[in-house]
Amino acid sequence: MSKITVTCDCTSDLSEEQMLENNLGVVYCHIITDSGRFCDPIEISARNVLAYMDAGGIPVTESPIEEDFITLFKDRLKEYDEVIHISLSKDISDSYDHAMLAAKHLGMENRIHVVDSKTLSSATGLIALKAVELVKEGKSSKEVVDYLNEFRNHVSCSFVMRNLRYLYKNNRVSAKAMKMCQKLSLHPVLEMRDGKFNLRSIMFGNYEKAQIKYLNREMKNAEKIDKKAIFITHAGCTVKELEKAHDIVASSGNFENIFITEASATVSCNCGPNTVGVLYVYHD
Amino acid sequence: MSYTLDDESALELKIRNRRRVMFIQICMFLLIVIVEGGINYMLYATRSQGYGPETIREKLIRYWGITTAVNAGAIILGIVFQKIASSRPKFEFLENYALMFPIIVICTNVAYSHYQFAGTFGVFVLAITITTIFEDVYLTFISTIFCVGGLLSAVIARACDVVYKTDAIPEGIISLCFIIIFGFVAGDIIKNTKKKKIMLEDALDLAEHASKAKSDFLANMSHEIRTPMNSIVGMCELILREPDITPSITDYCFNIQSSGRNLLAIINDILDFSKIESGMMEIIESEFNIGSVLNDVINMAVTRKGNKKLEIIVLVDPEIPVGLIGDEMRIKQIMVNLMTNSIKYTPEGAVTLRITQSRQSYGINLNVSVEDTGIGIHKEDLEKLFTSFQQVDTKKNRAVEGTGLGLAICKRLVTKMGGFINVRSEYGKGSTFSFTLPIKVSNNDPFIVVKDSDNIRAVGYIGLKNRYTDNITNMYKELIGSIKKDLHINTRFFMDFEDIRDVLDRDIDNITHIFLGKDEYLEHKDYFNSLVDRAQVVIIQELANPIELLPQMKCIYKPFYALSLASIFNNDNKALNLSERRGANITFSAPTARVLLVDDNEINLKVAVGLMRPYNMQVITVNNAKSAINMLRSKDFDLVLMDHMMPEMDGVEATQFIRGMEGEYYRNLPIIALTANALNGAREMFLQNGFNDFLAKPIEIGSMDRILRAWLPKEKLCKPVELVRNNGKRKSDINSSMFAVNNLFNVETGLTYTGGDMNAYQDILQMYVKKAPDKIKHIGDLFEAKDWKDYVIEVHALKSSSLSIGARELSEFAKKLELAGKGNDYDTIIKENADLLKLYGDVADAGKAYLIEQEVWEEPEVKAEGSAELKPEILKEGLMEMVDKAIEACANYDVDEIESVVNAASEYSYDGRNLTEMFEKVKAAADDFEYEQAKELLEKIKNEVE
Repeated sequence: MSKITVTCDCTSDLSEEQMLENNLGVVYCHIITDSGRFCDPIEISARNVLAYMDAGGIPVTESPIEEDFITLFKDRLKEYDEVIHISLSKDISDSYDHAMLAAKHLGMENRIHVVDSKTLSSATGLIALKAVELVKEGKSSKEVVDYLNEFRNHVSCSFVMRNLRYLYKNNRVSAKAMKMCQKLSLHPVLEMRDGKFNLRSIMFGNYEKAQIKYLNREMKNAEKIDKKAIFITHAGCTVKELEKAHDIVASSGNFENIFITEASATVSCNCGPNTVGVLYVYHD
Repeated sequence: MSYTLDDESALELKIRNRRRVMFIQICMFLLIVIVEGGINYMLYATRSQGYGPETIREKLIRYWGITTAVNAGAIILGIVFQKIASSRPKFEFLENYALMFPIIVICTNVAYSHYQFAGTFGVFVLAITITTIFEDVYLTFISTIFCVGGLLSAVIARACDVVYKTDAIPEGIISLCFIIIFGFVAGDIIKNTKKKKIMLEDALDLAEHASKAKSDFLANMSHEIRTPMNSIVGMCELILREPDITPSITDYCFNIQSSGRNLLAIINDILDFSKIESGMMEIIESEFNIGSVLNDVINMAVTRKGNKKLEIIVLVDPEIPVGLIGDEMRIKQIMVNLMTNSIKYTPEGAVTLRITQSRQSYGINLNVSVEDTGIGIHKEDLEKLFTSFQQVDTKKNRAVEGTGLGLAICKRLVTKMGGFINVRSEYGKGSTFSFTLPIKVSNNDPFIVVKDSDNIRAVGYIGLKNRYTDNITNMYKELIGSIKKDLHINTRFFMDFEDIRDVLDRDIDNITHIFLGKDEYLEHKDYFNSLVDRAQVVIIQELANPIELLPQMKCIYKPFYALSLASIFNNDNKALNLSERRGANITFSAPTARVLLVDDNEINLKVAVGLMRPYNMQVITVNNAKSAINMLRSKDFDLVLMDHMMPEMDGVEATQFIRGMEGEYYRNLPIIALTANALNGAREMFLQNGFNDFLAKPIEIGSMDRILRAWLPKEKLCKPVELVRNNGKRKSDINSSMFAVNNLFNVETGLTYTGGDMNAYQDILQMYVKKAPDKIKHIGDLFEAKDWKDYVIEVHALKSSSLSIGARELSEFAKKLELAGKGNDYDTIIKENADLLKLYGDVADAGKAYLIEQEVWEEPEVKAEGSAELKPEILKEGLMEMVDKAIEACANYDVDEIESVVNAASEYSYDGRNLTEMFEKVKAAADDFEYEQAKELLEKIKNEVE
């Protein structure tokens, strides 16, 4: 039977322990500032990049290049027969394309399988964890890939942001939209749908209350959420905010694991501080 | 620089603003309700508007009530906004809308009712908008004038209109009312703007004065505190360099130095923080070696650890480039801060320092992390960790000293250098602080290389199993694993004695190195002692309570890491122990270089001279700027170290003067500022004033080495003299052919004073041998004449000159008689003078024999006895003038001038004697830089002539 390993981008926002426990390989993004190029998350964290942006800096995110994937795949293939790589949505990043090019460059398209998660952050992480689970069950790479291509449609990725300032700084939204949000104290709730950002709803008024409202809304249909694991992924939230979020989620359902993780610097520099999201697998 | 109004002024302004807005609102209310409503009624209620017949009540409602109600409602809403904004901080932003909203509503309403007013509204809004946005008084006046002009013309046009001329007067009155309101509003805004501007200007002045006062304070404090600290730390360094001090004195001295450095560190923290907060922190980049930084950080950590049951583990990537460009001092400061914190907050366990790199196009990212098994930090406290003056968990950590500034400074420094700092922690388990800095590279060669690694077979026995926790054992295993992998050496480590014994018994002939922990060695001492001749046995032990080792053994003091092991493999003898780590900063010697040192503080001069002694340079000291200038006129120097703050003429003035002197030499002469005022902008100030670089006091050996190496002529740099301690005595360790000539003099010793330069040594020996006959006669004459004063001067000179050729015995003998003379023990001199002179003669003969053997001996010119012709007689005045000139030259240390006088004197005679004979000794003393002696001889000549 073929020995399969699973790898993912650093933007899957899984903790170091989860990575180690599941023997997940990871390829890193980089953040480029005016003084250097830093590996996310080894050399730069979410808080670092947010502080940098607050000080007026404009970081540039760099997805893993082809050479990074080649190094990762080669390293993994020393011990394993096949690699399944779960990448960030290809509609918002070049990671998927670079991974594919790397596989082609190595001439191992039959041994390296790249899955477009069509999502980001811990939602990608959930898909990676599912892949590990399937591999442990003895599924073949084709079975795993086929399953994941369907599975990804049942992973919810949404988050509430204080404003659109950071998305605007990264040229993801227009200045008009950003200014309107700011002037009218609007807090957008974005979700990933079909690999792209979509505006799910808008919260008004006090942001702390907006966060709670968002969480309650997400947990409204908790019975449809897979109880195995749910992620509360945040960028620059305070301990109090996270505790509150944890309480809301915990009280909504009997979850086996509630993981609180900090988003990677790459994700954080798009959403800004005090962003919180609930990411989970749901059943129809 | 940012400034803010103080709290009181800000509050006052806010209150005044609110009152102003309220007043405007009340005026508007009265005007709108009474005047506008009334006029509206007058204008329209009296005419048919096509609504059919209306009662007065209906008219009142339509033409007065509705309009007025809307207007009043808008004003009331404005007042409500105002109230909410003043009572609830969350809604402070409503204050902005308190005036704007009612104005918009009212104006829209009025514009609807009075089409004429639309013009008024439009143009005055323009004026107010300009005032609000641009805050420009003149712009507002101009736009207001245009508005009024436009309005007047509109009213006049109405008056001339055939159909609507009756509306002209009422419309004119309304327009006038609104001109007054808007004029009032605009005027009020302008007045307020002016007031705000004045307040801000005052605040700016105050802030500038405060900042200047703070800078002056910082400069003074920095200088006042650092100057005595320089003496304390520097003097300790000199004592520690003495060869014969006992271990206990070494210990005490090291403790004083360490405490001095700690105090300096605290002072520096406070000054640094102040600098950073004022935006005055400067990052000074220069080339540095990460090994030297690591060395210092580890030294500090070991000292700081003291007797704590704490392991310090160092994992470093040996491939990190040897030449990096950055602010070495600040990088070291950050690492030291993090290590100090970890050690402070870890009662027992381990502190692991990891240094890795990632290659980038601009150089590398240097990644440093400090991981400890300490008390950890609560999640809530992590958020305020890098805030100044805050120690977290203060109740629990009351016993832990510290200013609370360290991490705040680290964060700011890292940010200033373009990097990032992070912390992870789990309360009760430990913390990891890490930072990354982007660094440029000047030399890509790895900083740790094991030469001949293929031929190394090492084994190690360190009993990790039962001594440490699993965590620490794993870290040591990681360390050993990384050393094996990174240094590419064949090595195996064992945790059981039986296992290593097996390997050693079987394969000892193929083993080159055996590394043993101290306890492991002591447990099986006899066995390992039996192996010392078959492989290099290296004991790894703590600096405190080291054990006595066999001479064939080597020792590494913990923490052992890649660099210390590489040193063993390379036979470098570097970084083996703490005291030798200190000496590793001397990277060259320069026996032919001449340095002028200028400082008004005697102790500073002593310290600096002492610190420069290992470089074997000719160091001439003066204690004021004017003497320095005179010295530079008379002599060529390769480098000048000039103190900044001196009385009468300071270093800056002196340097500017020197740069203005005629000749390329003075423009190109390297002048280095010595300063205790190491503040931001200091470097730039020195460079702008003609200095080439600066060296901060207290002088750090590494910095001095870097400066000297950078600015001395390259051709004058020789390899350094490596000094290792051997049973407490220093001995030089130079790899060149050495031999002793009998026991009279030792070439090896003499070479230490010329930095290994054989040519320089032979020149000095040649001069010594040639002068010896005259010197022996002269000392004999002085002895006969019982001229003890001059006798002591001569044997004093003999002491140092003998040492410089390696004639230690003669030097010690001369020292003995010098001390006897100074102590008025003339009996000893009488008893031993003959032996001294005999030994002197023997040494000179042996030196000559050596030089002949080396085929470098030059025969001296022989003067035939009695053949010297008597030169023309000089007048007494002429002779006195020459003597005075020579005395002045001695005062100015001007050997060239002295030589010139002597040469001039050699053309004359006085009182039946050629002046050459009288001035010969003066010249000889000046040649030996014995200016005081030369001066005394000249005074003697003067007295004889008079």
